[in-house]
Amino acid sequence: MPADSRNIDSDRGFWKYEGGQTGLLSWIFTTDHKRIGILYLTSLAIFFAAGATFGLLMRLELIAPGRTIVSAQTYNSFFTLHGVIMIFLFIIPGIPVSLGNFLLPLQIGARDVAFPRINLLSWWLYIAGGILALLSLFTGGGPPDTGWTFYAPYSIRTGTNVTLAVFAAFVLGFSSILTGMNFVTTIHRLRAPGMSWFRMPLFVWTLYATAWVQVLATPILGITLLLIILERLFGVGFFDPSKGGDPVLYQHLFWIYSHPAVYIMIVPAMGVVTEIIPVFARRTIFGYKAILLSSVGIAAVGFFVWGHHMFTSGISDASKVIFSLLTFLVAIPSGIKVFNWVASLYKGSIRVDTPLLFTLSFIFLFCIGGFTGLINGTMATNIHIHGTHFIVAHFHYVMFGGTAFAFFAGLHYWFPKIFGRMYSEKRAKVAWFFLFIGFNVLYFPMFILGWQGMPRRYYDYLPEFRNLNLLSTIGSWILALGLILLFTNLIRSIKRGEIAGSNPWKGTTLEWTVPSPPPVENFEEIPVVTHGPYTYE
Amino acid sequence: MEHGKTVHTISGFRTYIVTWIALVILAAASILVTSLDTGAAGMVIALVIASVKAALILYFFMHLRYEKWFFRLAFLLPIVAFAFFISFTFLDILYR
Amino acid sequence: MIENILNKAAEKHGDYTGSKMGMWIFLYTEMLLFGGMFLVYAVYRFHYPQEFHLASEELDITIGSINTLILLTSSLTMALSIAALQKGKKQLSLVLQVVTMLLGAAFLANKYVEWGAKIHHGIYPNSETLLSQSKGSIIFFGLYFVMTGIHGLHVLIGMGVFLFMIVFTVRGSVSPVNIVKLENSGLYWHFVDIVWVYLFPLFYLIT
Repeated sequence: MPADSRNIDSDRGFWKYEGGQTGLLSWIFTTDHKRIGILYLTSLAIFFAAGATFGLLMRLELIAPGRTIVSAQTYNSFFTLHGVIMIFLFIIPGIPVSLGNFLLPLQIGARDVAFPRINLLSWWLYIAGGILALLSLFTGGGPPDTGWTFYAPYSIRTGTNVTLAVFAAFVLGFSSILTGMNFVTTIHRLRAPGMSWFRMPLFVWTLYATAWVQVLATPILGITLLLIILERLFGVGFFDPSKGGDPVLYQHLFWIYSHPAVYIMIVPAMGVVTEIIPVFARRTIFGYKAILLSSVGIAAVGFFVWGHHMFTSGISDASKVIFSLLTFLVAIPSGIKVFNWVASLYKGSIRVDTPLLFTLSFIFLFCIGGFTGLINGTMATNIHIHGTHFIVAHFHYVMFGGTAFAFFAGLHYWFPKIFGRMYSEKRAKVAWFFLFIGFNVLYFPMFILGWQGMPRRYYDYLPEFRNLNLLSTIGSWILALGLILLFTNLIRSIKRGEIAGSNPWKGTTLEWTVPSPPPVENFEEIPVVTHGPYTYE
Repeated sequence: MEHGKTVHTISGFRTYIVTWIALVILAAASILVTSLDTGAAGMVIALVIASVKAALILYFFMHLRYEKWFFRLAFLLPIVAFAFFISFTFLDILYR
Repeated sequence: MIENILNKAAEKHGDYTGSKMGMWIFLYTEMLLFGGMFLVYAVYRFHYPQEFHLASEELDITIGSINTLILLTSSLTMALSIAALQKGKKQLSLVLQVVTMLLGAAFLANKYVEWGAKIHHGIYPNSETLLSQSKGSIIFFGLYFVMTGIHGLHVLIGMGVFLFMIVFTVRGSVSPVNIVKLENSGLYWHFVDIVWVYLFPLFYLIT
């Protein structure tokens, strides 16, 4: 790689402004999937920071029993906003809208997605939803205090700003639907000549499966949120027992979406991991079709397990048995993937650079999250740990230790492609260290606390839980340090990193055949594909 | 990429008008069936008739008759999803 | 300026099958949106069979049937408008598009009358009159207003879409060789018709 004295990125590849527009307008009105990916990435980072701030404030409150920094009412708003922001504004859009938007056309040999203008609309809707959600902090009866799950009847009766927050989620759902629709069509219609379905990179397969889940599950959320709004505004009565309604029906409707939603979160993350392992083990992936089928399988079976969130809500025994059984079944394809990933590493020529480091952490942390998921999905143990910090630990292990860590892996892996520069490997590893330690110190004690009976969504707790809570809060600070180190390293490297060539990792998928950063039209000539995605000697 | 070309057989006016007549007859039939004292069976028949009408609209008006396999197959996805949603919910509702 | 950017993008990206695929996928989401409401209907119909039957008798079958006829016919005129344009008969297509739109308006007018009558009699969500009725009745009318309301909103949006299609057809940006926008509008409209095909027996014809 020749040393390059250029410091300005604005004349490199797609970063150079297109058409007659300059500056901000060339971004806000862009239809280039790469720019839209960057727009999303930036917005995601901002919302993540907001959500993380609420998380840190929550841990600050929980550092000691009794009231520490805020009232119970404020604490309730904290965990509601933490959930709403992290779930609807960070994790669900997450990998698909940032890495997915940027990489999908490149990996299939296309110039853009099928509907570039709708892609832009998705981002506008995302921002609109984010603004509405943040507005709910300040207007009306104050920030919502129902938890991100908005359970009836409380969500109907509370005077806080549920209507606005729920409407924000509705708008965000629409954004998600449009992305899903765009990706399905793109993958069907715009693959390069020679790229058959079974020659697609597995990241693309996971984006495809996820896109279908977005299309099929999100509308149910849409109607559910709409019904909450209509109940609050017009007193319709669907979830109000005094009018003949059933609050448990709300839970069914809510989780019919929100369970598949967790697969929207994890399946692309698994795709990222599957991309990284072959490159850093210098081996083809073990079991291409098994990983493909298990990705699709997880997405499919994930539609039928929602009742495991409702074991203590009064549903019938018959449904509990079926939901528990299916929950066990859905763990199987995940297990298959873990096996395949480990097998892909076996006898590989392994280089533990930062992307692989995060990937290995992902596998470890996701396994913990996954196994504890089985504990949750078992009816007998569920009664004991439902509504406790055990659940909180479980989902943070899969969503944060899982999805977010994979997101970080992908960010580092594709960083040189997107920005044309390399991040500092040393600083990245230091950041990883603090992240990994901080994450486990923050969340592992919650398994113990939950098992011992500490409920979730309470701003106070019994004195016997004090020590582990203190430990957990300290963990949150270590984690925060790790996050700051990670982001400052990446942001700094955008301008100051070493110039990267088109293929610094010697990857074999199509994005590595174009310059870093890619030109606006991606490929000078659309490639003709003649083999599978992971061909290593 | 076909830029805006119409690719498949053009349906004649006649196909559409015949479909419409069938739809109107079926609508009248469902009104008739439910106005008689048929109880629960009448409701089932009315819904079956509604599904036949939907199928006619999908097949002829919406051109599923001519479309590639993707369109016909993918159409089943939301239907199957919905079938599961409603049946699993009723696993709870029916047996509480 | 914004038009230029968007138009350039449109030129670059024209794919007839892809465009239809996108529309169908959007319709799948609509199927599930209404599906969620039908699920709520099914649950409460199961809980309150008698009350639903009695409440249903308070709806006017005549208006409902006329609305069914209106929508079925509007699907016909929509399909014919596309066929006409494919055959190069631009004027006929325009007439049919306008008729479709007017039929949609007629449907909404009927809905307005129906709703007006109910509201005039004190039957609307959370009204004193309604709350004094049986729980099944409260839920039935809740479902009636919500489902026909959301459906009606879709009819209204459809009319907006037709307005655009009429303008595009007049201007020529919708033409026999560039007809996918009109076809997609047709798909949307037929879907709205199908929703009514199910709503009608479920609300007006309950035995």
